[in-house]
Amino acid sequence: MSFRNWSFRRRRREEELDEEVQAHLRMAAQEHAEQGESPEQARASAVRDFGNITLVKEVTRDMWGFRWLETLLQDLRYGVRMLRKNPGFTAVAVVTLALGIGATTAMFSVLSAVLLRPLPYQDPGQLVHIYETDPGGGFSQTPVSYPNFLDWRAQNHVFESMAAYDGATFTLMGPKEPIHVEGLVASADLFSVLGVKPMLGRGFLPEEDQPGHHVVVLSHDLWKRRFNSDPSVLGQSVRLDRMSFTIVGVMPAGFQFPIRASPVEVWVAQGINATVPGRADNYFGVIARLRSTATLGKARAEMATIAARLAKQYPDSNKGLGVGLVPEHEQLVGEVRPSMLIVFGAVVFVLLIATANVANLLLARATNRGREIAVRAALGAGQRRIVCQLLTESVLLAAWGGALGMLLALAATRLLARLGPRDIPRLSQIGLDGHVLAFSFVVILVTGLIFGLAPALRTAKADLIQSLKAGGVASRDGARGYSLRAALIVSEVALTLLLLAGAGLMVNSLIRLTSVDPGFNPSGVVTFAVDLPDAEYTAEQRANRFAELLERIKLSPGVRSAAADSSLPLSRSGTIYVGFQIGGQTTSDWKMAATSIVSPDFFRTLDIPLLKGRDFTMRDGPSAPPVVIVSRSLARQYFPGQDAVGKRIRMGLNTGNAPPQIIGVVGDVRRDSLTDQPPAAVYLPGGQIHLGSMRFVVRSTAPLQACVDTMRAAVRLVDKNLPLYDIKTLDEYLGLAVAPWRFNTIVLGLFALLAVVLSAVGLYGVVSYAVGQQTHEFGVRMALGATRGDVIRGVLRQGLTLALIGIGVGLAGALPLTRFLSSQLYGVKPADPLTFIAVSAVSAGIALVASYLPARRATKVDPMVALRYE
Amino acid sequence: MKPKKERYQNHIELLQGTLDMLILQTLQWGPQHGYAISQSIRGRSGEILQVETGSLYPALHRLEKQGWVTSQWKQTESNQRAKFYRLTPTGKKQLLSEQARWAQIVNAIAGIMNPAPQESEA
Repeated sequence: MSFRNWSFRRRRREEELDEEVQAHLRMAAQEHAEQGESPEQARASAVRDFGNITLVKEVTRDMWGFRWLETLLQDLRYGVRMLRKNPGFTAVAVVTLALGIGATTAMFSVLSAVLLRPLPYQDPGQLVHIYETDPGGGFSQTPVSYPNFLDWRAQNHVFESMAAYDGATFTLMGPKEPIHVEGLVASADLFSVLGVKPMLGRGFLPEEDQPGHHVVVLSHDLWKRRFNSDPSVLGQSVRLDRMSFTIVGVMPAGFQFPIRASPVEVWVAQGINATVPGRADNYFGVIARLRSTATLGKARAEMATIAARLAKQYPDSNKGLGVGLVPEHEQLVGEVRPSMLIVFGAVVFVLLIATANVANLLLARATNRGREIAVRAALGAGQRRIVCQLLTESVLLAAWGGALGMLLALAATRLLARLGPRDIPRLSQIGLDGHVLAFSFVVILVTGLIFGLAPALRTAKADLIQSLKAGGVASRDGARGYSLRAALIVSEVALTLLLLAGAGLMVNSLIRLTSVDPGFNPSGVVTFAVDLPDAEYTAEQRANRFAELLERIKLSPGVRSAAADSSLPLSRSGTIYVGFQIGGQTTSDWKMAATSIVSPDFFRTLDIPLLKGRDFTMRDGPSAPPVVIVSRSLARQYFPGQDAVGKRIRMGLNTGNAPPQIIGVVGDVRRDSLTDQPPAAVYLPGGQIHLGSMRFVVRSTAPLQACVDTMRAAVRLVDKNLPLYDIKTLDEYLGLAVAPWRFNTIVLGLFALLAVVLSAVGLYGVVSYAVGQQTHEFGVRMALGATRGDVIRGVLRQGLTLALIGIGVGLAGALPLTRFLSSQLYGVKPADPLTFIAVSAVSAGIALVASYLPARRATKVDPMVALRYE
Repeated sequence: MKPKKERYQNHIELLQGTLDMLILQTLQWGPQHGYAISQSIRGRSGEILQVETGSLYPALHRLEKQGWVTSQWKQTESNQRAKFYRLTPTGKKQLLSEQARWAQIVNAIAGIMNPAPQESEA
C-alpha cells in the first residue's frame, strides 16, 4: 500500500469516526428531547453524557494500529512548528548540542580508528607480538636475535606460525630518479602469519630465508607509482641499493605491516643477509599467530620454558634473557591508549555540559509553555501523550544539533587526520564510518531523552487548574524548578572546573617541557640521511666516501660547520645502547651507554659543550689508537672525583681490540625523549667504526630551502645516484618530540574553553531567568529604597553562590581525577596547588561576569512598571 | 477527572473483556449502532451496567479489527444515518466460547459465594 493510499484511508476513517460520534450525539439528544428537554438542553445533556469527545476518539483510534507512527509524525510536525516559532531558543540549543555532539563524534572516530578497529589482518585477535626481556639490564622489552627466533619457532606447540622481521631502508634505483624507500626484511612466514595474500604473484618461500636469495614483494602504492600498475612486473628484476632483486609479488591496496607513520613499501626476504645473523645480534621483531586451541596464558608459560632452556644452553648470549608476549593490537595502541581515553573522557564532560545547558533552556521554556500544555490537557490529551510530544520535540532538537554536529565532526576529523601527531597509529584513517554514525545516533537519541525528560515530566505534571487560572501570564516557577536548574548549573561549573584543571596541568607541563634544555642547540641545523649499503662498499670505501661527502658539504656556501652522526638525538630513530666495561677489565660488570658514531666537529655543529680533553680529528682513523668521547654523566658516575680523560673503557662492539681510551668529556644530551634524563653516552669516532647509513648535520646561515639545494648539489657531485632523505631541521625533530604533548594540550585546552563558554552561557541564562522572575520583587525593593548596588549585590550573590558550590564540587572531583593524568604530565604534580588556585579563580571570574550582565539589567527595572505587572 | 468517577459510583464496573462479550451478545439479535448497543446493555441490565463511550467505541473498533463484527452505514428507524455493527460467523463462535467461559466463572464464583447446603434448600 502506498503512503498516499494509506493516508487517504486514514482520513476517510477519521471522518467516519467523527460521523459515528455525531450520530451517537444526535440520537442521544433526540431521546433527551423526547423526555421533554428543550433542544439546547437536550444537546448539552447528550454531550455531557458522552464525556470527553476528543479522548474517546483518541482511545478509539488507538485500536486501529499504526497509531504510534501516526502520533510520531504528528508530533514531529508539531515539534518543527514549535521550534520554528522560537528561532532564538532553537538556535542556541542547536548550536550548543552541535558543539557537544560534534566534538564527541570526532573524538569517538579517533577512538574507533585507533583503539577499537581490529587490525586489518585475518583473525587479528590471534596475533601476538613476542619480544625478549632483559630485566638484569633494565630493559623490559628488547628485540630478538634470529637464532632465538628459529628455536622459538621450532620448539613451541602453541603457535600456528611465527615470523621475524627487521626494518630497513633502501634506495630504489632504476630508469627513474633513485628514491629512498622504507623496507622490511622478513622471514618467509610473515604474510601467512598475517593471513594476507599478495594481490599479484606470491609471498616468500621457505628457502628464501637462506642467505643469497634476493626476492622482493612490492606495496600496492609503490607498484602504482613506480611501475604504472603493470602486472608484468612479476619476475622482473629491480635494483635496491644496487643489488638486484626479483619481484615476486604485489600486496593488495591498503595492506600495511608494520602499521606506522612512514609505511613500508618493499618487503624483502630474509635471504638478503649474506650470513645468518648471530645469537647476540638482537634486532628482530617477532609476530606469531596463536593456535585456536591455545590461550595467551598457555603461550606465555610455554615460551618462558623455552627461553629458560635457551638461557641454559647459550649462557654467553642468552643469560638472564626472558621472553614476553603481548597481543599485537596491544603492542600497537597500548602506549597511546591512556591519553586517548583521557581526551575522550574530557569530551564526554563537554557533552554533559552541553546537555545540561539545553535541559536548562528547556526547563525555562517549559514554565512559559505551562498554559499551552494545560489547554491541551483540558482538551483531552493524556499525560503520557504530552510527555511523548515534549520528548519528540527534544529529540528533534538533538537531531538537528546532531546533524550540524556531524558536519563539525567531519571537518574536525579531516583536520585531525592531517595535523594530528604522526605517532598515533592509524590516526590518518579516521572518518565517519558506520560505527561512528551508529555511536552518534545513540548519543543524539540519549542526549535528546536526557535533556528532555526532566522538563517534559515537570510540564506534564503541572497543575492544570493553576496554569489555566494564571491566565496569559507565565506562571511563577516553583522552588523545585529553581533547585533543579541550580543543580544543573552547579554540575556544569564543576565539570568545567575539572576540564580547566586538566587543561591547566597540561599547559603547565607543556611550558616546562618546551623549556627543557636538550643539551644541544637545534636552531639553524639541517639534517638529512644518506645510505651507503654494506653490500656495495667495503668499510674502507665507505669511510672514504663519507669523508668525501663531508668535505664537499663543508665547502658549500653558507655552511658554518657540518658533521655526520649514526643516530640523531630525539629523532625517534631509536637510540642504540651498547655495553661497556670500566677500565678495560673483562671481569667488571657490563654497563649500558647510549652509543653513537660521530665525525669530527659533531659537537661543534650541535653546540654540545666540550668540557674536557679534545674532539675527534681526521687523524683518529682506522690505524690510529682507538679512542672514545664520553658524556659528563658517564664520567661523573663511573669516574667520580677523577679525570675521566685518559682512562680506558672496553666497548661491547670491539671486544677483540685494545680497550679505547677516553679523550674527551662532553655535555649531556637528551636522546630518547625530552622527559627522560640524559643517558650516559659514549661517542665513537666515525673514522674507526662505520655504518651503512649516516645522518649529516649541517649548521648553515643560508635559508632552509637554499641550504637543502646546496646539499643536494654537493652530494650529486660525489655520486649522482645517492638520494638524500629524511630532510628535516633539528627544530622540527624537537617539535616532533613535543608533538604528542602539544596535541593533547591543544585538544584538552579546546574542550576546556568550550566548557567555559557553555557553562558561562548556562549560568548567564539561569541568572537572567531568575532576575526575570523576580522583577516584581526588585521593583518593590527599589520602591522601598533599595539602591542599585543592593540589587546588583543580591543578584551577584545568587550567581556566585551557584558558581562557588560548583567550584567546590569540581575541586573535590578534580583531586582524585587528575591522578589519571599523571602519565601525561611533566614536571607538575597532578594536585598542583597553583594550577588549582588559578583555574578556580578563572572560574569564579567568569561566573562573576556571567551574573553581572543580568544583574545590571535588574537595576534598570522601573519600580512602577514592576509593581503594575501581575 | 473527579466528577466523572462520582457519576458512575452506582454502576458496577465491568470485568476486563466482559464488555466485548456483552456487545457480541447484544448483536446476536441483529445489527445495531453504537448508541443503541449502549442503551440496550443499560436497559437489559436494569440500568445497572452503564457503558462509557470511552470504552464502547474502542471496543467496537477492536472487535471489528479482530473480524468478529463488521460495520455498515445504514438508516435508523428514525431515518438517521448511523454506523451499524453486525456479528460475523467468527464473532458468533467467539461469543459461544465467551459464553461458556462466562458460565464457568459464574459457577465458580457461585460455588464460593453460596456453599452447597444452601443451594439444595433454594
